[in-house]
Amino acid sequence: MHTEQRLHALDAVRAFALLLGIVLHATMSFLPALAAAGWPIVDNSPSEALGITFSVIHIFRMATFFVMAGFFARLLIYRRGVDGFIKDRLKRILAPLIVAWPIVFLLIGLVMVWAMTKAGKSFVAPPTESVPLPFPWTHLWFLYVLLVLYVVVLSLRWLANTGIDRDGRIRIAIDKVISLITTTPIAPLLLAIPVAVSLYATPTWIVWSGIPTPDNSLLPNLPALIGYGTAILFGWFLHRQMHLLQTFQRFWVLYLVIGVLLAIVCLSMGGTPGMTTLPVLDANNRVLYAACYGVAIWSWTFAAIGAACKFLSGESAVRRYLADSSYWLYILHLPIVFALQALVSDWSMHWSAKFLVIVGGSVAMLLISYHYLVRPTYIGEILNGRRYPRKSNDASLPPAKSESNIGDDMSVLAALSKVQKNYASIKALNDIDLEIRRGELLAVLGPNGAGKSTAIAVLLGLQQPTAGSVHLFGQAPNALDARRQVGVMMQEVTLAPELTVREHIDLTASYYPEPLSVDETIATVGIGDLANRPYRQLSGGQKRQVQFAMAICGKPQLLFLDEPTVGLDIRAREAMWETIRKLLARGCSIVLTTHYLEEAEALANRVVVINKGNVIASGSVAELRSFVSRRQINCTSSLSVDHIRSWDKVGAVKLIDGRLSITTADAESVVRRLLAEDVSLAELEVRRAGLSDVFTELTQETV
Amino acid sequence: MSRVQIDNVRQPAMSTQRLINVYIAEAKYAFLRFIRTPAFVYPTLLFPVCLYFLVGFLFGAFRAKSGEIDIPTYLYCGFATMAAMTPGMFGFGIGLATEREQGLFTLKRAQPMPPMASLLGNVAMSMLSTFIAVTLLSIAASGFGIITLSVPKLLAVTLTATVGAIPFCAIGLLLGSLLSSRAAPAIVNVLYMLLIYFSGLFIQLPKAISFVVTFSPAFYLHQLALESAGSKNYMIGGALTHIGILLGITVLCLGIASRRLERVG
Repeated sequence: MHTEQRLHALDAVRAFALLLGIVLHATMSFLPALAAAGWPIVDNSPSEALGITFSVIHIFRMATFFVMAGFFARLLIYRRGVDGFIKDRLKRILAPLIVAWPIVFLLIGLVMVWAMTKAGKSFVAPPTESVPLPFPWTHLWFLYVLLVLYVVVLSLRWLANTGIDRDGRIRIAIDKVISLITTTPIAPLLLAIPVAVSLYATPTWIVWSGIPTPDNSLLPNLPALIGYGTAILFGWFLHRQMHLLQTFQRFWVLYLVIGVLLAIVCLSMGGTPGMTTLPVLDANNRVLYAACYGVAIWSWTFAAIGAACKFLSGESAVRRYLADSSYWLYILHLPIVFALQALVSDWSMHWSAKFLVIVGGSVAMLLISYHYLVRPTYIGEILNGRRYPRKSNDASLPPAKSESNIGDDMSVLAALSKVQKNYASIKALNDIDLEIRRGELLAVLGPNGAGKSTAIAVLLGLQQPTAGSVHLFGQAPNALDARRQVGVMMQEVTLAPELTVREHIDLTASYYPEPLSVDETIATVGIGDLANRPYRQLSGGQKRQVQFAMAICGKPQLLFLDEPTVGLDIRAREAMWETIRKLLARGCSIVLTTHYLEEAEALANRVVVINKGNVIASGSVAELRSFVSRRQINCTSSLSVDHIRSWDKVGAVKLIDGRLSITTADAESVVRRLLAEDVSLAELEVRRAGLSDVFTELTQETV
Repeated sequence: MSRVQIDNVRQPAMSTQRLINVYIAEAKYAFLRFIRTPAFVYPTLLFPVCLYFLVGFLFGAFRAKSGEIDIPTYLYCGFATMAAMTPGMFGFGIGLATEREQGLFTLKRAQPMPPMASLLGNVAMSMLSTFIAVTLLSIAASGFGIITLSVPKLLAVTLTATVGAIPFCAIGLLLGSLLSSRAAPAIVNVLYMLLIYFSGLFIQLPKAISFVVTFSPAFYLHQLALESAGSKNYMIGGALTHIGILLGITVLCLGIASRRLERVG
C-alpha cells in the first residue's frame, strides 16, 4: 500500500469521526437520562436503541479523531517544519475556533430559547457549573483541546530535541515498544491503562458518559487530557512507523470483535442514557468498568483505522468531497441538529423516522451550505487548505517568452510575464511582458486607460494579476523585503493634512533600513523652506515635491514615479529632472510614467509604449523613432497643398503659418521633387519624427 | 533565448530596533493627527461625560429606581462602553474610508510599511483616547458623588473599556474597508446609534425584545464593564463568555477587512 493511499484512508477516518458526531448529537433528544439531567430538548418518543448508538459512538469517536490528529500533526511538521505547522494550525484551527465559537454559541442559545418556549417552559440560563475557569465551549471544545495538546506535543518535542533525548534513543525505544505491542496485538490493553486509571480516579465520573466531555472550562478535565493526550501521542508515533498501519488492517476484525464484546459488557453494567433507570456501580465494578471501557476505546479505534486502511485506501471523489466538507459540517451542525430536534419533538411519529429527519435534514442543509458558501470561497481555503473554483479554469499557461532582445546581460529588478488582469469583463492587461533592468530609466507611455497604471499596480503588488507571474527583486511584490528597495510616488494621493512636511518624510523614512536623514532628503529635493509647514497649506506643485521627497528618502534601488512633474513650474521641474539624473548616476533604476513626452525624451534610456493592455513598442528613444520610418519635411513653397498630396508616398500635408509640413516615408525623393518643381523653395528642414509623433502613430494604429 | 539574471542583491536588512521604530512612529503620528483635529478630539473625549450628566440629571435617571439595578453605576458603565466604541468606529470607519478614497491607503501599501504598523498605531491611539475619556468620566462621576466605586474598581472599569476599544476598532476597520467616504459618516453614525440603543447601554430594552442585545458587541463590553465594577451581572453568561464573543467578533471583522483591503484596496 502506498503512502498516499494510506493518507486517503486516514483522512476518511478523521472525517468519519467528525460526521459520526452529527449522528451522536442527533440522538440526544431521545435519551431519557439526558432529559432527567435537565437537557432542554426532549422528544416525545424516547429510544433505547438510540441510547446504545450514542454510547457506542461515544466510546471511540474522539479518541480516534485525536489519534488521527497526532498522525497528521507529525506529517505536517515533517513536510513544513515547526514554523509552517504553527502557522497552518493558527489559520486552520485557532482562527475558525475564535470566529465560529460566538456564532455557534449564540445560535445554540437562540435555538434553546425557542425550543423551551415551544415546549411551554420558561427559559432559565443553565447554572454556571462549579469548575475552575468556566467556559461554554459547546462542541467546539475539540478544537480547543486540540490546540492545548499541540502545545503539549510541541513542548515535549522541544524538550526531547534540546535535552532529554538529543540522540533520539528514547524515541527509538518508544518506537520499538509500539511496534511490539501493535504487532502482537496487545496495544489496546496497555494503552487503556492511563485513561482507565484517570477515569477511576475521578470521583464525579458518571460511568455511562465515558470520558467526560471537556466542554465547560478552560481547563480540560483530567481523564480527557490523559485519554486524548495518549491518543495524540500514539498518532504521532504511528506516523514515525507508518508500516504499522498494516497490522491494524490485519487485525481489524479481531479488534472489532473485542470492541463489541467490551461494549456489551460496559453497556450491560453501566447502562445507556436511553434507559430511564440506570444501575449504580460499587467500587469494584467501577474498576472493572473503567478497565473494560479503556480497552474498548482502543479496540474500536484500531478497528476503525484498520477497516479504513482495508476498504477506503483508494482515491474516491465522493469520499474526498465528504472528507473536505466534514470540518464545516461538524463546526456548524449543532444548532441545526438542535433546531430540528425541537421541531420534530412533538410530532407523533416513530423515533426512527424522526431521527432520520434530523440527521438527513441537517446533513442536507449543511452540505448545500458547504457546496455554495464554503467550498468555492475563502472559508473553504481556510478550513481545508484549498479552494475549489466553481468552474475549473486553471488551464496551464504556456511558458513565458522573453519579449526583448536587448540587454540580456543587464540584471532584471522587476518583471511582469504574461500578466493578464481583468476587471469584470474589461481586460486591463492582456498577456503583458515587462522588465525593469538595473540602472535604467524606463519611461512607460500610453494613452489614458491603456493599462499603464494597472501594470505599475501589479508590479507593486497593489493588484493581483488574473494570470501570469510578477516578481519584484526576485520575490512576490508584496514581500516587505522587496518593497524596502522600492520608492513610490503616486499620482493621486492626499496625504494627512495635519502633519508637516518634515513629519511626513520622517514617517516614510522609518519604513526603510538605512534611509537618508530628513534633512538630507529635504536638501536633495530643495524644499528647505517648506519643511515645517503643514501639508494642507502647500500648493499642488509643492505637494508633488514632498511626495517625491518621500519616494527617495529610503535610498531605493528602484523608484516608481507616476506623473511626477504634473503641476510643477518650469524651475521646479528642471530641479526634479536634475535630481532624477543624479539618482540614475548613482545606480538607481527608475520607472517613469508620464504624459510629457519631452520628459521621456530628456530622461529615458528606454521607452515602452502600452496600449490596450499590452506593450506595443519597446526600445531606446532613438530606436523608437526609427521604428516609425516617416520623416517630416518643413519648408516655405508656392506649391499647393493639394498638388503635393497627389504625389506618391506622401502622407499628411499641412500648411501651418505659411509653412508646409509634409510627412513621408521617402523623404529623399519628395525633397528632390520639391526642389525640382519649385525653385523658390526656402527654409527646407527634414527631421525624424519626435517621440510624440511615434506615440500618436503607434497608438492610432492599434485603435 | 538567454536566461535573464534575476537581481535581488544587497540592501541592508532591517534591524529589530528600526522595525520597532516603525510601530512607534506610526503611533506617534496617529496621535499627532488626532490632537490636531479638534473636531474629533472634543466629541471623543468629552461626549461620554457630558451625556452622562445630561441623562442623569436632566432626565432624572440617577434618582430612578429599577429593582435591584444600581442605575448610576449601570449608566457609568454604559457611557464607559460608549467611550470605547467612539474612537474605533469613527476613527477607523470614516478615517479609513477617506484614506482609501484619497489614495493614502494605496500609497502605504506600496511603501514598505509592515502591514500591521499603521493599524496598531491607530488602535493604540483609540485605546489612549478611550482611556482619557473614561478617566474623565470616572473623575466627574465620583467627584459629584454619583457613584461610590472604590478606586481599584474605577480603574478596572477604565481598563476594561480601554481594552474593549479594540473590537470596535475591528468593526470600524471593516466598515471603513467596505464603505465609500461619502457613505461612511452616515452609515457609521446610524450603526453607532443602533448599537447604543439595542445594547441597552442607557435604557434597558423592553422584555419582549431583550434578547436582541445578544447580537450587539457593545452589550458584551457593557456586561464586562459591569462585572469589573463589581456590579451584578444583569444578563447571560460570565466574563470569559463575553471576552470570547468579543474576541470572535474582532477576529472575524479583522479577517474580512484585511482580506478585502488586500485584494481591493
